[in-house]
Amino acid sequence: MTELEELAVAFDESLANLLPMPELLDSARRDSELEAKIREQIYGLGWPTVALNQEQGGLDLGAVGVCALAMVAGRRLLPASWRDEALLLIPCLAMSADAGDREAEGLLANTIQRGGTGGGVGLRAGQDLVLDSTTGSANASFSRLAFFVPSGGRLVAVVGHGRAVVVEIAGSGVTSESSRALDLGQGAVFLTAESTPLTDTRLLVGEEVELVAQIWRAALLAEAVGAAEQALALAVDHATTREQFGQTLASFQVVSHMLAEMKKRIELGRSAVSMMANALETRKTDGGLMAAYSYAIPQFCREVVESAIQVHGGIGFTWEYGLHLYYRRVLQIQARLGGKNETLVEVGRKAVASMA
Amino acid sequence: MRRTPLLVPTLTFTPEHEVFRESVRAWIAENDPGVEPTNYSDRLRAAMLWQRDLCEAGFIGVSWPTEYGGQGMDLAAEAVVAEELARSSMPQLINRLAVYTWGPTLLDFGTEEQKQRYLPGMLNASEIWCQGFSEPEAGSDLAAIQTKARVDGGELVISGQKVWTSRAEISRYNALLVRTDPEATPHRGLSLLLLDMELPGVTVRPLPQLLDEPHFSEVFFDDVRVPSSAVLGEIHGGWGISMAAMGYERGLFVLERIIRLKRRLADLVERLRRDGNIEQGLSEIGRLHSHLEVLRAQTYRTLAAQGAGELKPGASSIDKLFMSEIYQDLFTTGFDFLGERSALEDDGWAHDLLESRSVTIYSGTTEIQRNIIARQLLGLR
Repeated sequence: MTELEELAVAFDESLANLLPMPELLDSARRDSELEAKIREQIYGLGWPTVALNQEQGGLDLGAVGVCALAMVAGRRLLPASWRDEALLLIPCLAMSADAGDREAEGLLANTIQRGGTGGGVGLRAGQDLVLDSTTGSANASFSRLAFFVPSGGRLVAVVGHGRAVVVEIAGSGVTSESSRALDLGQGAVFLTAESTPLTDTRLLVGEEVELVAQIWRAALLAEAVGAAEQALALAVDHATTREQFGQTLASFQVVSHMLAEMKKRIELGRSAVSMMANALETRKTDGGLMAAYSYAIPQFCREVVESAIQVHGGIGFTWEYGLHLYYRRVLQIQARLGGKNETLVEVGRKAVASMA
Repeated sequence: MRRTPLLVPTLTFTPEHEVFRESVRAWIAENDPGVEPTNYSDRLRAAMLWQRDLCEAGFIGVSWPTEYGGQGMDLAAEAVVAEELARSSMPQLINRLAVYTWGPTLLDFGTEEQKQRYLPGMLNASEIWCQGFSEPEAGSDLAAIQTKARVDGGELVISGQKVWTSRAEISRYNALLVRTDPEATPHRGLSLLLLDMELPGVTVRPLPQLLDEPHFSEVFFDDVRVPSSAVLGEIHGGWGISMAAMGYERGLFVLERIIRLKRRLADLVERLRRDGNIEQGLSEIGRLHSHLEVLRAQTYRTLAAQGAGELKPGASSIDKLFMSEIYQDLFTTGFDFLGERSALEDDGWAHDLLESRSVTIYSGTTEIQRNIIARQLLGLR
């Protein structure tokens, strides 16, 4: 096994212990996040440094490593705010700290240790981050962006289109609106900012910033594949043990073909995520590939989980079995990347432009 | 359930590959024979000449060892040629079954004499190959074949019948799967023969397919005598060789298909643009383009695994299954957009729509691919 594979296996085993299904279901039913002590244990494994390089005190895993661990996170349903904090907010804080922001440096150290500082979002086409500096200092505005923020979180990173801002949730001009989201227990909140002031070090620009957004997006795709893969594993277990008409469900060809179709989608997703991670690693990316995958992979993963529910029959529709948590996660990711219809039109537009 | 590694290697191209790509592209631009003739036999003739020219230029079988006419390059270079070729007017190699499938299989299992004898003719298309697998009573259930080869001294005597044999009427050689041990269990008693189609007792009867083109044939064997040197690998070892050959049947084949389908999609886009209908088609175009990109990732993964000798049994069934689905999706979508024109004008779309129905049938039906995935990748029984 490579070092990365060993790390992924260890991470998988730890998450399986730390995120048992009853706890996840309880958090979902309460629509509030898991206990902070679980987060601290997971952060203790090094999760918050996955997207940092060596100079920043990170694991220097690159896009391939981040995507591999995100796939594990998907299998184990790691809370969305912990993902966004590690993959967006923490890299932004590290860049702010590099720019001489002492407060960011302290926040970074604290967040790496305990987490709970905030969340982030990667902007997609059509989502704007408006910057103006008419008053001498920079101000940021954005309209009703969705975040997952841990309770007590105070910062969000908004990353995309080649720049990033780190914004105080309680800052001037920022309004927030909590929401009971489909993916329960994740701390969903809508934020709107109208000319909220930024210090120089909280406005970041350049290639590195764009890479942070790209890796986050690739990690979402990997996470969806991980979640769907777990749903398939449950469906295979069920179909090979549950008997009806004196034989296992899997021995009916109609069921085994459903499982084969699910496996096809998972492996196609794995190939695409691998291709994207490798491209990001060598900085050979184009928006066309990301757009193409942002439609197909979440859609495939969604279809896999829908089939998993069907293969399980009634048990798949119960609260306590928990398949719905994978469904909620995959749908959350699909929506976060723009949803089926928007991503389809976006990839269509890009394809047409490339053929012109 | 067995777990696959989280991420997998995919094919990568070095700067040297890109230089090579430029040289292939420049040569093709200079030598492209132009639009394919519509008449079937003219098309075959043109395709043979095209492969001969490509071979003379050193672009066929580039990953084969130099002593057998190759360039000793890697599979990524082979992928470069397949991708560039797919941009030409004649994207399909007439002898692709030999170049992509049976040549590599011969390199793995053949004797030195067999390699020397057969490989050069595969490359320059002077000897076309077909593959004798399916029979009237053995289609999806391949191990049920009944065509026999009886050992008689230093010879084998073949009797029986094959069906759906593509390009049989123009083939000089046939990679023929026969039963050599009727007593053994179905998979164990089979052998793979390299059969000269000009031998006495071989009869080819073209079987027009639904396009009324004689693309495939029935082939009859009436006590055809071949020397034992026609056996590829071990006698009774034909099943394993056939499965190894099937593994080669994906990678480059599918890659070439992807680019060809991308070109057809670009043609559809162009027509929609001309008609001012592009906005209505964005979602459909998006889906097709997106699926083709995912298939490309899958094929790059398969090629990387092939190159490393690590392709898992059954893994490339995913490539075949998904390629077939996109293929049919593209041409039915095209028909739906182009409507009456597509039905009433001979512009290629109607032809390709009809032809696309074969993709989910040949080389293992979609249902067989799902069985393989269920059994070999999910371990279901």
